[in-house]
Amino acid sequence: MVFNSVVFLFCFLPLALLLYYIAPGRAKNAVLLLESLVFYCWTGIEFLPLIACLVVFNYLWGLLTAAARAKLRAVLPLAAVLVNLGVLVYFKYANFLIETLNQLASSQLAELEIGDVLPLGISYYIFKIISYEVDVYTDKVEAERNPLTFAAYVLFFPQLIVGPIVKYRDMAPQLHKTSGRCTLPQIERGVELFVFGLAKKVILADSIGALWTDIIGAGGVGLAAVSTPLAWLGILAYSLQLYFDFAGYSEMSNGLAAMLGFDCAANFNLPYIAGSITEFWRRWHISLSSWFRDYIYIPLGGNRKGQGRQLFNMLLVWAATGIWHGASWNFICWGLYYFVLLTIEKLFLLNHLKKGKVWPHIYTLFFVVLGWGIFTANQPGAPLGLLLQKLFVPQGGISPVYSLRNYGVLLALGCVCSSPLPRWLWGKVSRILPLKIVLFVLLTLLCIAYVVAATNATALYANF
Amino acid sequence: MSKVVYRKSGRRAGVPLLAVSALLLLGLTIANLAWPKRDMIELENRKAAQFPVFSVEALWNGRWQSEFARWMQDQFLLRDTWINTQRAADEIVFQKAEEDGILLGKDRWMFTKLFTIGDATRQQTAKNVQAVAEFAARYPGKVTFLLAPSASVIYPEALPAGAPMADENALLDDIFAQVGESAAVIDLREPFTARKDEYLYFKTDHHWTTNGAYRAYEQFCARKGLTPFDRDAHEAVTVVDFQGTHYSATRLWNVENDTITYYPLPNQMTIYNITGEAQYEPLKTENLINTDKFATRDKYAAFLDGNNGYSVIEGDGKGSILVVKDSYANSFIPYLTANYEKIGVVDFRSFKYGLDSTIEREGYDEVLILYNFQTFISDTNLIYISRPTTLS
Repeated sequence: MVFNSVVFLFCFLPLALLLYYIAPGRAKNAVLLLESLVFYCWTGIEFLPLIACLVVFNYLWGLLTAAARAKLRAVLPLAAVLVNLGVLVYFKYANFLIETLNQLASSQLAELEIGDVLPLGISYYIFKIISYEVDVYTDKVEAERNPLTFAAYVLFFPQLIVGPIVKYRDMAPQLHKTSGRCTLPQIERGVELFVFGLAKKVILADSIGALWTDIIGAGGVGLAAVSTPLAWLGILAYSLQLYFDFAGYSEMSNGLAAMLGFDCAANFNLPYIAGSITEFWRRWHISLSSWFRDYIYIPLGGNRKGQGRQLFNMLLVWAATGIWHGASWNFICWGLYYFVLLTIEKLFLLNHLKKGKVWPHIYTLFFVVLGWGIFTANQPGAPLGLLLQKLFVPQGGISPVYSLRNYGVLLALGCVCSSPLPRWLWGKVSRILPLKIVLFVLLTLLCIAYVVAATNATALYANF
Repeated sequence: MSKVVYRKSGRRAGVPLLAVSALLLLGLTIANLAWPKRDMIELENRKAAQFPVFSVEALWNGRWQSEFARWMQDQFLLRDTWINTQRAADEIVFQKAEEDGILLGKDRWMFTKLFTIGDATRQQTAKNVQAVAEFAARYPGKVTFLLAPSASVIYPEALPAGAPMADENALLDDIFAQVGESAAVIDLREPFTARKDEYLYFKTDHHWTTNGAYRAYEQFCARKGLTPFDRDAHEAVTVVDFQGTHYSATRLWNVENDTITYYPLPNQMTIYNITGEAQYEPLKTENLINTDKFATRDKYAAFLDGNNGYSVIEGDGKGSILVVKDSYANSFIPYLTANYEKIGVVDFRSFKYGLDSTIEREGYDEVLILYNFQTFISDTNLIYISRPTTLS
């Protein structure tokens, strides 16, 4: 069930909120768990045993880790991480590994019959679970004693499909609040965040994304037929779509969390205004970057063990970031591409970037947009070689005139909404309450119109 | 919008916004529960999803859930109004030039978007051309092939700026050249372009108008040496407020409704049930125009009562003709009553046999193949035309 669907907005959400609000404080987590289970089972019950086993195992393991004596303790989290990662690798990467192995060693290993679809949200909840296990081990947080509360954290429906990967330690205080968990201003903030996220997803992402699908999608004109300017326009549109899709979904998630009484940190902070790649990654998918920083980069020594070791740690983090996005070579290349860029910045470029005013932004945007070209190269119709040739060898073909005519206003709006301007404007509008309410209701109604009219495009990031 | 700054007095200001939102959510949810459910979504010309039947298996694999979601989506209150609103926002605010595969042209023209002709379609076109050419070669001098061009070929200047339309002209040239070797071909591009000020195509629908069909019919008569149906001698009836398939897709906010003109003729048409190759049982006999359909959205279906596998019309002329066609012919065929005594109509979408046996048994003197370009290039049924008979 995606958030931008009629069934979620006008069946699940009102029921879920109503039940949650009328439930007494001590029962709220149980209600939340029940609702999350319904949400999880919406795509089928097949994978329920999997997540149930993971929850039970990790619940017990967490308690064990907390209770175990010093010597045994070092082994416990390692085992937990291996088990959880093992599940992720099995479902997400096994066939990719077998395929690669078959190619390298020309062996004939049969592919596993796992099915075409990943278990819903597995990349996200496995990372949430690992953060819990490691934090319990490092005493950052106490092991959860109530299995229902732990299950409610893992299955928390606002974060189930596309994250963000909120750590247990950040949600624990609110999960343990038995009275006054929800306050009206917080719910109001959640509603606002949710509607803005919904607007990003259904009005901007889905509409702008159609430009790229017009080119590479089934029945599209085909990448081979387009001119260089149209190829750039296409990849730019894809970049905007990816941002609004994912940031919109994250905002909806955080909005829902706020309505339920949880304050979660923003997952995106206007990434396209960054003045360096380093800064870009502090603004894009913040929960994932911070997960990699906390559970790979820093445990490996971060920057405390000399520059050589630091670069090696970065290499590992960025290879992992690439692989996390999917079992495909283009994602690994994409991760390493960022490793190279970040290394260059770390070694010397960052100092120059800090002095520049305009060019660092152009430089950042150029490489980020190009990066999305590599990122999208696993889609049929967008082979990387052809895309690069279209982008960098100037050539004729279908001109961008029609795409500009059809998507011009949306693209301009997309660019404006990637900047701090709307935030500033909304701050101004908020001072005039009637205007704020009228605009908000209009935006909400418009979102509903787009939801009803759409064929329910799922989140791009649900597949990762 | 993740870090919206709230005023310190937010506690007070927050309540009205929250109240309004809660009212909106609960109001819509409850109203939707009570909203009447429907069987058909007429504007989308399809059945509306119905409440799914429960089964453990369907629940297990998620089918029940997705059918429930589709039911919610299809039966949501004011569905048509929401979609109209979305389209209007796209068209007015975002200035979109395209909606659901339909291009929004100048002067409220709407055209089918045809930017590429894929390999599968090209292969189908080649098969169709070959089938028609083969068939025509069996009946030298008796087969006429009429292919109506798309409206966008006649009115290219009304297309949205820079629309990279596929080269229909080149393909038409190619088709006419190949079919022309064994059949008489009628290319309407010149006569239509010469009369482009007339009302030839509907703006809200993918069909031509009765006038467009008449101009095509004139070309047919000129080729055959026939005296055309005299429009002045007949009283025309006009049906207003026609919104066709293009409108259903785009919901153009400032749509200019079309009008349908027709001539009420006394001639009768018998629609047959096809029980086997060249075996027909009469199903019903009625007028050429089913005026009941004018009361529905799908008004064009009034002509010949829609698309039927095989029907025969009693004409007032001499000889007989078999028309092999898509829906474009439905508004064209009534004029043929002035020239032929018997007019057979075959629509291969519900006619799965070769044509030879029918021509022989029903005794047709001539054959007219009439399609519009877009159906012709992708139609998967036309290949039956040259299929040899299975009767001994």
